[in-house]
Amino acid sequence: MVRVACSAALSLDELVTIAVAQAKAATRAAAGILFLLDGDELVVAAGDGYPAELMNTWSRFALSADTPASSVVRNRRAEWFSDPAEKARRYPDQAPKRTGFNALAALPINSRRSTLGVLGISFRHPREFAPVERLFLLMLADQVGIALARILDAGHGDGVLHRTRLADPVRRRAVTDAMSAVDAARATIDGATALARTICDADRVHLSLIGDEWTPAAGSGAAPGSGPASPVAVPLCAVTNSPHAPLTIAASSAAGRLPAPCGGTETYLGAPVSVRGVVVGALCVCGGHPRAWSDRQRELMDVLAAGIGTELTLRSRAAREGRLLRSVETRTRLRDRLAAAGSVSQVAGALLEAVADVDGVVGAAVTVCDEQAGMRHHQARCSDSAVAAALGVLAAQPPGPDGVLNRSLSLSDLIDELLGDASPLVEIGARRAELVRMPGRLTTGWLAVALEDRADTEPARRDLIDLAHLGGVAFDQTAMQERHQLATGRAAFLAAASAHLEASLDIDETLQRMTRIAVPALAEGCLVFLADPGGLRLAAASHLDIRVEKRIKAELGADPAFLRIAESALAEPVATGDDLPGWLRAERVRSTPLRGRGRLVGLITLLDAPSDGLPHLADDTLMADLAIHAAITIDNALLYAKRSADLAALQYRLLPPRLPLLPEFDVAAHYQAGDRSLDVGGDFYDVITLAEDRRVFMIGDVCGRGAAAASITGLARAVLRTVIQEGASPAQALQRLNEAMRTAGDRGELCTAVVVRIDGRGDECHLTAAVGGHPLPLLRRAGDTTEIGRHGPMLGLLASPVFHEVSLPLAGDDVVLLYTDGITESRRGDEFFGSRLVTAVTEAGQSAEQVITVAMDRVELFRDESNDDIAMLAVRPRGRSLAGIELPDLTGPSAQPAVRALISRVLADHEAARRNLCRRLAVLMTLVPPSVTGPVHVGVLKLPGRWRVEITRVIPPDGPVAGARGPSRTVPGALDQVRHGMQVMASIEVVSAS
Amino acid sequence: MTERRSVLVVEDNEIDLEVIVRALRRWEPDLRVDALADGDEVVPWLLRAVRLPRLMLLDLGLVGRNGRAVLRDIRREPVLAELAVVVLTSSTDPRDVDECYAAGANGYLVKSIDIALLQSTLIAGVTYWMRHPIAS
Repeated sequence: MVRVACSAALSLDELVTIAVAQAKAATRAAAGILFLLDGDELVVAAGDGYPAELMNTWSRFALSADTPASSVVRNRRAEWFSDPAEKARRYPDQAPKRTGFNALAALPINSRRSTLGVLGISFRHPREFAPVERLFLLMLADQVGIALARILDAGHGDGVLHRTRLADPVRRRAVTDAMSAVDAARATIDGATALARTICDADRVHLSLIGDEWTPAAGSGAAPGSGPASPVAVPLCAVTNSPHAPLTIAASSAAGRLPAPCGGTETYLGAPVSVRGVVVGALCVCGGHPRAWSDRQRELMDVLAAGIGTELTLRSRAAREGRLLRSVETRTRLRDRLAAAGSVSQVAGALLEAVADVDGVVGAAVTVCDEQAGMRHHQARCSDSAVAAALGVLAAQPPGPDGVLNRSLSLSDLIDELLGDASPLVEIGARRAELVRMPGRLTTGWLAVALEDRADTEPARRDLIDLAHLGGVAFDQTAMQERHQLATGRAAFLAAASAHLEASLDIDETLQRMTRIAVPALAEGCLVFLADPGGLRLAAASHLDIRVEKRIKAELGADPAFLRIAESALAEPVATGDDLPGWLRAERVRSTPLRGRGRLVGLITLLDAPSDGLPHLADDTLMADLAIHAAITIDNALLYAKRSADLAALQYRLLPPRLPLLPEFDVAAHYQAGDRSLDVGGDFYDVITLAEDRRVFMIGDVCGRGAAAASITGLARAVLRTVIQEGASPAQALQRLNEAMRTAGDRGELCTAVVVRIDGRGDECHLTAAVGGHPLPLLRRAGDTTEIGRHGPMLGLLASPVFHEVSLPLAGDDVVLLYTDGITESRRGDEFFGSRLVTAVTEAGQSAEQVITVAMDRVELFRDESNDDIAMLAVRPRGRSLAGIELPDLTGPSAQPAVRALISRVLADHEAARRNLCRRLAVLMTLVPPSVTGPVHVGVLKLPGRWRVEITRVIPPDGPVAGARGPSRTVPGALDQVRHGMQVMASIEVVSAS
Repeated sequence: MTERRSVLVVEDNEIDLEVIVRALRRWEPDLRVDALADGDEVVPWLLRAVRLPRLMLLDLGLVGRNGRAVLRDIRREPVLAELAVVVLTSSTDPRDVDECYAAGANGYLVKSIDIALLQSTLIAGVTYWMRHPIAS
């Protein structure tokens, strides 16, 4: 409608009326004004809605003035003022003037390459200009410019200028070539113009080139010299390019056909100047008085014009070749830059720089994508982000349905495609756009270029297509590098992840290490959830930012909302939106299932940043590979954990759950599994009470490990226990076990064992020992430690082995230690612990528990690895028990009276000993620290020649480490550090003679 | 106030430094990258800087004053509070990670021996800290 209305305008007044009416209708503007450029000043051409005093103030003002209208003309850019404050800020001198208008749009009125004036639209109230409004007003100004140019042209020799010829692009290119050759042809031109002035005896002579504008290229006399361009309608030289040329005017008043601005010229003679057969301008002579031009003068003018044309032709050819050479050099440099570019971003930057150098380009953008690598890159080179966004929309347009790959978009096409988004482009002077496909084998790319309004856009279009081809090749090369880089990076990541996953069976630590290398190679955050019986639990998490990582571990692990999101992200990535806290800084959540043997064992969840269009390592294939590897590792570890826990429980059951409490014997035992990764061990021990004065202690070691060894261990312990309870002696027991071993199976299972029977009540005892292939027991007596017994064959090896029994007396406080070879064969390098055990036993304290503790401490200090099981069983006769009591707490108020009563009762006939013991016990019990709590046993014992009071407490067994609950930081299944027995807290003696 | 497109790399291994700088420049040609090789120079250099870099990549295994000591030095200076320090190391041991965080590191990047993976790691890490400065 605007276009139609403006086209129909017949006068300036009508034009501005139409413009203001259109603006009012669309934007509710209160007033409109049209300024026209007159030399270095702006004058009001028409206005509507402004007070008369304002119109008078604005009637004429300098182009250099600090006003919005002057600025718009100088910059050829529209200006928008939403409120008076904004205007006052940008134009401080205007601030005090109260116009009664609070918003303003000042729009340049352009025609082709020159600005004709300014259209001002004013509003009563402050307002923001929406993109669509801006576009409408810019288009209105554009149409006013076209109409205004037509109106102005109408006043200047309409019918003389041959517009079709002037607009001919071939001719315009010839003019451009000629203009580029003027300087080189200066001597010839100056000589020709001087000669023309002489021959024609004219006041002035000049050479004009007529392209989009009139450009004086040389002059003599009062004629303009070479200088800036003016509107093409101004001079007669433009008329010379009409079919009526050469134009000869003897007297303007008579001719009546001179354009208005040619005031002062009465006579004129113009000879067309041609370059390569195309008229590009005119050599003109003129004067201020009527006169006739002779044929000779006209003929010579034609000759001089032809000479200038020939010179310009030759020089323009040379100039064109020079330009071509420079263009080749520029292209070569561009090719080198593109080839050297290491990233898509650098290719795009170099390409856009070259595009920006193309004549007429006001902004450009590239969009390139590599679907296989997941890369989508957009980059723009333009004045502001709004223009970049508009070009981005253009560059993202798919090819048309007609298969046309390169598209030229007119202004109306731009508006159709972009609607309001077109306004930033229109505002920077873009009046058309080229959308050029960048052909590539690996990538798809588009170059969107905004262009000024030019009559001839073909050269720019050819340049852009050429550049687009170069860009396509360069993007392909970069994409190839990117793909290679990605493939290498993915392989390296999987190798590193696999190494971590295979390094340990400590699942939580392994997964934590895996998430650490996954961040940020795969994503900004990586979480691993494991499926526990109670649901998913967060097993590991890493984030680029420790602040976020801490909050993930503290808040998300048990957050049901996040777990739901993580699970739902299994199907497809979930955009976080408002569902996740902002501190997580994630735009997207992706989860990959971890499946082991067909069941879900966990999830890997990635927290993705906002997409930057760059290719990333974590594509579906890599995540699937990683998930398979991680799932197998987790599943194996879970199986291992369960199996180890089962074996630990089995082994625990192969040992006595606790040692019997023997009032007359101090017994302690210790068991430690060997290498944590090994299966169940074969060491065992047991204590059997046959009668009040007969007890059997045994220890054994089944060769081998695993379930088979465990079954033999169970068999050996059960056989020994059974036959001993049936009354077998130690040697007979080993015989029976040997038979059982040989008949239990045909796998050649072997074991070793020691059986020690102790007869007596703890004061004067008798020991009988038999050994089958096992280290001989140790006996510590009076500060000396020796081996006891005789070596016998291994059990299960021989059909009729002979086991020798050794008998010896055993006194109170003698210590007998049964042990497996895990102790003496503990190693440090090539060195064995060996006889150090004897030293340790000798140097240990009195009690059985102290002997075992010292022996183990020495072993731990000595060895550099622990790959064999260790079992020890120590027994010490404490004396014949006379009486004993159980106290709930040694520090309780009733403890001392109870102990005193016990001693008084037992030693009623031994006054001195009773008093001595009571006094010393009273002192001892006052020294018991409050931290010692729990039940204790106080026993009164009789040894040869002395009485003894011992306070003891039971050492609870540690039991197997719980491992059945699932993966944990500690390797499950190791039956570690089982200690049990009795701890002697205090022992006081008095000799019976006292 | 830190300078957005500026990174300080503290690394005494010339080859590693070259790889890191190349990776950063490849990602962002206009990025300002300064480098120091001596742990003792870090805090004085930062205190002299007109504007702090947005991010410091700190190699833990510096000869002489090691990365942990440099990290503690930095965190003792209140004027360096807005500097994001990201540790670069080949260790994935959770105990090392915990130690670095306890000493005041803001992030922890594992230095891969594979250049392609290292580049991906560096680019993603630097991009994050350019987008999310400590002061945000």
